Amino acid sequence: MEKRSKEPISPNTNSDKEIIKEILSEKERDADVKDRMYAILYEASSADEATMDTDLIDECVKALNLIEGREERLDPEKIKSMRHKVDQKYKNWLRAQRKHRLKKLLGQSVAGLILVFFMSSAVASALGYNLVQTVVDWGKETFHLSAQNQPNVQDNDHNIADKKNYGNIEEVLHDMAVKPLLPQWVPDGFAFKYAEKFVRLDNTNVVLYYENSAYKTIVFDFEIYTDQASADASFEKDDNMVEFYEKNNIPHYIFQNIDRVQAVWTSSNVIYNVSGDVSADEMKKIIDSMNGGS
Amino acid sequence: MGRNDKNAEAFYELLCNQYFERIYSYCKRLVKGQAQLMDFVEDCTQNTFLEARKQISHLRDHPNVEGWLYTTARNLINQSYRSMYVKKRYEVMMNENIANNLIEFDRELEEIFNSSVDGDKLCADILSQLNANESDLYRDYYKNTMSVSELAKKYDVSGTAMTTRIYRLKKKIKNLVYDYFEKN
Repeated sequence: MEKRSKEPISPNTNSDKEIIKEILSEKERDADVKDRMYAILYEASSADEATMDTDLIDECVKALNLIEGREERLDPEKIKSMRHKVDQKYKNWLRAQRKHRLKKLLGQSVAGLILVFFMSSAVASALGYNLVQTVVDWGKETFHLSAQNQPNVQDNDHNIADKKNYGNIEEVLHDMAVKPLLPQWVPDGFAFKYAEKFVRLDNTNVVLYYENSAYKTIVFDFEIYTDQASADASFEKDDNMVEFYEKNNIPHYIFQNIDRVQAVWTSSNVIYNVSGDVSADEMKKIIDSMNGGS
Repeated sequence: MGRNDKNAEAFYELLCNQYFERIYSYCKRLVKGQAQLMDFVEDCTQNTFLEARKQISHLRDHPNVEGWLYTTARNLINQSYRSMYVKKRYEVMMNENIANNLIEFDRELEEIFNSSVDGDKLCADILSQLNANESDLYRDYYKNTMSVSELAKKYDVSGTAMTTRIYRLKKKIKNLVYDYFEKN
């Protein structure tokens, strides 16, 4: 066994009394140790979460508690009450999420209150990119976008999605042949939260969620089709005007859905649908950033 | 409730049982234990676990969940600190005189211990108050004279964490000696 280089206890006095005597003889100002402990604690705390030395943090916290004579445990009743507050906050958050989804559903059910009229030929050619035929349908109920290469003969029942959640964008796009354009800018305060991927037989749906501290969200919904598949999507809107915004020769349609601004367009086998608690101008900036800046 | 939801709930419960108190202590240390900031410590602890609950399905696959909790707590504390602008205002430094007095006190404690008649009984009494982990460390470090690197390997922690643990053991023994003489 490797011995310590500096033997603190002489071999013939290896008794508990000698050891404790030695411990008591070590004079170190608590204030100095405290400063050192805080320095170590702050340094350890600044490490990356994946490689963080949590044992060291734990040791520092315990040592500092000991120096300050505050080794007392947190009262179980106190923990219970704090956890109850977390439960309440979580329920409120769930309620807000549900409310948001409900608004979306409501929007879908009253979709098309006002129709979106476009020149179908112009839209078809604008949306046509590398698809043979793109059709924008409108009726009293829906704004419908369809991009079709050849008839999709697959049974819809077999088009079951395999859903996965991801903690970062690189991971969700990792094995995808077609990569959608990604936002390089989002309004201040919004940050990427998580992503979802739904893999179906003829398309893959990637959804990126951004959120700010007030739980406002921006959702990027990319429907990515294979060359052989047909693209088909309907979008809800309210009675506000649809704004036509052209970027890189691609028409982007910006409209309002309840209290959220939504933009839809298609490019390179991808149907883009961005919706968020943002203004139309901010939406344009997002679109610009996705198309390589202003 | 689906099986996945149940597993997520069970995992969240496990996180709370294992780390709630630790995260609270950590937040408390980050604000240097200042009594006037305890509400703020409670809020940051609660919000750390609120975030964990929201992201529980991702956390199950996280390589270092404990690291995630500490990082989230640290970020929340920093965020609140920034918004309060109180860091400088409430910084508490130990008065130099108090610190020097503590050294004097250490010297006295050593003299009393050295002059105590029944040293063995005293030692047995003090050492019996160490918990199992502390007793193991006492034996390994002092009796078996294992090095810090050996101990770090044995206890599966970093060298710095081990040094801190040894410091904690010494400090506890000093406190126990003090308590002993205060009682007797």
